[in-house]
Amino acid sequence: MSTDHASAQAERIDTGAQRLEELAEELGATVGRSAGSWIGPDAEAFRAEWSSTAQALRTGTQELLARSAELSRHRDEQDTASEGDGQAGASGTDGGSDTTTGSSAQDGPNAPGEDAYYGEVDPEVVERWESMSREDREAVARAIIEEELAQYGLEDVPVDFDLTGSNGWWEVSDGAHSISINGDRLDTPRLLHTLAHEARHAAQWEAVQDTESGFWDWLPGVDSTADDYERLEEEHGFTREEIDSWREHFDTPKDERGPYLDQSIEVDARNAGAEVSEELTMEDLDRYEELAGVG
Amino acid sequence: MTPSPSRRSLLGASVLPAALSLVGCGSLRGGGDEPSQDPVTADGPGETEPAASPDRCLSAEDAARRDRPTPPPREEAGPENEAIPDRPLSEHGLALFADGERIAAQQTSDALMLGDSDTYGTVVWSTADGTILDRLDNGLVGAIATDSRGRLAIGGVTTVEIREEDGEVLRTLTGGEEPFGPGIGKRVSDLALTSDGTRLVVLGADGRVTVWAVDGDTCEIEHELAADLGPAIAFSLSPADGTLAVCAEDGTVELWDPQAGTRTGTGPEVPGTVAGLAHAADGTLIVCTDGERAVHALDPSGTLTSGPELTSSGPYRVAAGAGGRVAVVGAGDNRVLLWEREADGTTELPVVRGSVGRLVFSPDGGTLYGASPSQGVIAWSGGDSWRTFETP
Repeated sequence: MSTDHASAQAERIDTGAQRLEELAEELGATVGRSAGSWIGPDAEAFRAEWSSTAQALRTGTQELLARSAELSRHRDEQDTASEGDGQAGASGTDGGSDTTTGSSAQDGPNAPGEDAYYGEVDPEVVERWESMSREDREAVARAIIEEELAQYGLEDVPVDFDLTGSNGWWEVSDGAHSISINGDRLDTPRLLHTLAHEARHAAQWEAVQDTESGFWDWLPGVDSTADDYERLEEEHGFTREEIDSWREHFDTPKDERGPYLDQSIEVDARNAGAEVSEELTMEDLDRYEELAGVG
Repeated sequence: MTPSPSRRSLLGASVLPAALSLVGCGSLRGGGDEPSQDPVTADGPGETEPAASPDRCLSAEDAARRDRPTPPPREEAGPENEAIPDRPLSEHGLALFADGERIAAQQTSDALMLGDSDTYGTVVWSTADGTILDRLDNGLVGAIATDSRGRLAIGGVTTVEIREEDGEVLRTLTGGEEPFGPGIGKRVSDLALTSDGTRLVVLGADGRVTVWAVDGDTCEIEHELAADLGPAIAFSLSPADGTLAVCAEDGTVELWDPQAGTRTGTGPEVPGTVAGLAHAADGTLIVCTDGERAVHALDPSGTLTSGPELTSSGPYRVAAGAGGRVAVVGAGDNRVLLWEREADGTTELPVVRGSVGRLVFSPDGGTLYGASPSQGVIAWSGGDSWRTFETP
């Protein structure tokens, strides 16, 4: 999260706290006025219950203000740290395009400013892949994408092979992901990379959504943002810095993002794709063929 | 993500109405005006300009000044510039010279982008030994056509060149700046020179079919054909009578007189969706259908013969050769089907490693050439393997 982002969040929390306080006051006045026109046991019970509800609202307001102050403190600390080492860092502070290309990508052969690396595929796998018919390749490719998505808990994502031009395409619309692969280029084993690459973009988006700050994070029984970051790191190895750099990317208008090859989501997806390409064995391919019902 | 008791699911249930009454739904992202109705995307072909058919002819001076496209600097590279190693040839262009001794195809820009080559565009090989005879380095990687005089018509994305047999540029047609990008998908996808050399038919990257008068000092669009059909995916010019068969995206086939610019008929009634076509030397029209996958032949007398079923889906690359030979391959596929119409025999040719695109027969029909993205120019003359030509 950038410090600009943190400031905006703190401001919104303050606004929310203020609104909550106003609502409590308005409701309290309404309840008080009801004493003149609403009498009886039910009315007495309601007013007694309102008293404890009003206390909970006041506590909630105080909790919100405390959270806001904590967020502001973290923001100031981050600003100080960034000034100290002279680097904007992955989460950035200037809101400019460079902040989307930070050093937050997962460890791997790709890094901002470096030549793109897509992975070397086992020669035996290459030979098998190149000898498959297009229909078989598509079926196996679909199985690979589905397995990649499944490890992130994503299912029923439409996949087609109708893309022309570029190698792959991921998009999410109204919460629904879809992936399109260039079927005319699927004959090259280089596109094994693309299958995992596009699935990774879906995972990046979900990770960003999972760690969005929620207004009610402070309520008992609701996961905190910190818990979500921790869970995602434990389950998928996504660090907080990585996720925040992806968020910043998605939040940045397209024409203000940094160079395509250096964008945080691209560097990370290239690393994910390279890893899958390099680790794909003949046994894996056998299994995917079986899953796809070919071979 | 792995299902969990996340805040998202909680916000979606009991607490959501209360949250809505306070500061708006869900996230506190950015300026708070998310989400947008537009789909969110990562990489893909989103940044390139839509390609246009050529619409004007460059002067000789302007044509001479035209430089081939060059790779963008790293900071401007997009997904369309991501090169693929070991992919030397475009599947779109392959044309045999009339003498059968030379063949032209298109070297992709991938190797240039990767720093493994100094050139890209049209390359000419000897069919006798598969060696490279000439590299035009013109930066065009679309369709190619030849005529009986040895002239070449060479397509790119927005550009078409007409060259003399010796490589001299005679004409350059343009629809705008020729872009650079190994991953640019839409290209000039079919070209044909009429037998008298006075007309050039162009299927542009935007799916328009235009007829150009290119005789003497004339260089202009004479007709646009089949515009009502919507984007065309392929055409074939009959070597027998000059009829042009145009295939639209929806499978509709129309027959046109390209000289007069008039429609002369419709394609054969066949089951399925036409997704590829070619003419044999005697004017027989070969059509390949998707859905109900099969090859059909409509001879000049109007007799329709149905051939073998096709195992792959369209669109199809189709070649017709002497002796009633027909070769078909699905886009991006590596199984080439050979149908010998006279003997009504079918052979699946040796599997091509990777895939094969445009196909063309030698004049005697004895050799089938193919443009394979990974293997380069390949040739099959019988037997259980393809011969590979020198890699550009």
